[in-house]
Amino acid sequence: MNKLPGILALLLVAVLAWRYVALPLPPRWSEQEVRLIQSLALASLPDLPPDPGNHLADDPAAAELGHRLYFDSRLSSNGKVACANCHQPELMFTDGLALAMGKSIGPRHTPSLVGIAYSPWFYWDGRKDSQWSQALAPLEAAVEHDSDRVAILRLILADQRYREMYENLFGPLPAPDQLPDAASPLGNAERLATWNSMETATQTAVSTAFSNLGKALAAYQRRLLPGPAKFDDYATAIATDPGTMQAGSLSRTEVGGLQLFLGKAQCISCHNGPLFTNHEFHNTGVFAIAGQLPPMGRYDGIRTAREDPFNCLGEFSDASTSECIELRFARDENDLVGAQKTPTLRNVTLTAPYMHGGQFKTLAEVIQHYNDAPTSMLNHNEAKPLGLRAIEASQLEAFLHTLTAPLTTEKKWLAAPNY
Amino acid sequence: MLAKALWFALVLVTGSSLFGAVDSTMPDLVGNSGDGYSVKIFSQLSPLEINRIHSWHIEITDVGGRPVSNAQITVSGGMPDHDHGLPTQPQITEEIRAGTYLLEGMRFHMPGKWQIVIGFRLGNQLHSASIEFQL
Repeated sequence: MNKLPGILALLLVAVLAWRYVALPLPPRWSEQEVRLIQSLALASLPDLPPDPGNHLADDPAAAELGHRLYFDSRLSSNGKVACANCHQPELMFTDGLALAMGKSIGPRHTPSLVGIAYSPWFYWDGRKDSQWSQALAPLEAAVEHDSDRVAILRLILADQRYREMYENLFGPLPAPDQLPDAASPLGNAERLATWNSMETATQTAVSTAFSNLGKALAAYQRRLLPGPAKFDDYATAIATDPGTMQAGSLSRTEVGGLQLFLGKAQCISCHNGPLFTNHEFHNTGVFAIAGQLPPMGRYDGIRTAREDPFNCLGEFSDASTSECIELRFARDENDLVGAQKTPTLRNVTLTAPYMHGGQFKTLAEVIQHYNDAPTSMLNHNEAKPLGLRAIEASQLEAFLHTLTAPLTTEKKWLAAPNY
Repeated sequence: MLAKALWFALVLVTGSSLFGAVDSTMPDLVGNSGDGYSVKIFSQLSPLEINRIHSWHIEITDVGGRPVSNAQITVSGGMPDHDHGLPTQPQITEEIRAGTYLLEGMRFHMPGKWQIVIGFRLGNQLHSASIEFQL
């Protein structure tokens, strides 16, 4: 009798089982796992850290001014681009695109702004060291707002409500008769030439007022904070019955995914803490964006941050030198070549596509990337192949879906101002 | 020879008391070298957490228990299992009292095994202490 078909069938079943059948969960979490789960829960999120460079960071009137500026497309050269174009409230302050679209297509994927006030660094390469300083850059970037600091101050001067709000917070604006129509040290040749023709005192007055608008924008944006999700309910549930895996609202698949997140998949190495990010920079071997050279990442980013006149140590910052700890003690070594910032995983199901260039359309593709851990195009990939089975990749993805929840931010901040 | 390397074996006591002291009489970390130098570390973040920048006080004493002043200290380290260094570049910014130094800019950004190397120069001798611990 020919036994071959039977043996082949058994082998096929075994292979399929290996790929697609979940291992049974142990009955209890280990003490270490319980500790890690609690460290990820939103209940562990500390109070919002102060922004010493922005003395109005928590001022409600500054937030209201920032709210208006955020949704105002008049801050752009073509009157069509606002911060909210790319950082859309309904998509957790992202845009759903691979690469940002301002006045034209930008070089990077739009990151979420939710909870980002906890980060000491901004942009994928960390080239800005405060939220207020970051908020200034798009306004003058040719591919984003494509405006300039003088043109924007002229708008503030001409809009009575803006002018009153600004002057109540920061004092008098530069007099309009001192200002050209458009000028910036970061602008095109014409704007730059005009800027260079201005008196130094006027340049400083303009940049001070411009930095104040960044501080108002930051006062608004730092209010965008995540709310408790299904995972957080589970963390609360197991806190009252330490170690019990099925104590809460997660399914067995989701619990299996959480176990992988903490262990075999090593996600928690970088996606740690209640915001599921360490706010740091890692090279994970993501391929270059089509049509671009592989980016230098944090290696260049820290150098740019140090030279930025709007950094923590600069003349427009409200911080003392001793408060600029992150900038003063930042690393800049060669292993940061190609390193990009770890994004939050909270609400990650609503912020596709993924990575600094939106290279992956789905979470499944992201998980497959980390499972493969390909060789990096620049420097080395910190991640190692994970050996996840197909069922485990599915479990991990299911767990990531438990991190989505409405923001805790008051609703009035989640749409254009109507007050 | 300009420098002679001496390695201290420092044992970190793990558990809930890890880095619990703030300049108390009980240091968070104690090590002794073959020739009697002692390094004590007091974290100014208590308890120690990942993702928070903070300072350490590092106390160095000689074989007679006398504080060692004017040491030139460097601090480096990383996660040997992940093949990367510290996320920051901490530096000694002040000798706050004889033999006790302020280290600013410490941060750990991952749970797991960390290694810290404290090197210090005394005269023309270079010493270093390697510390491993779990976060």
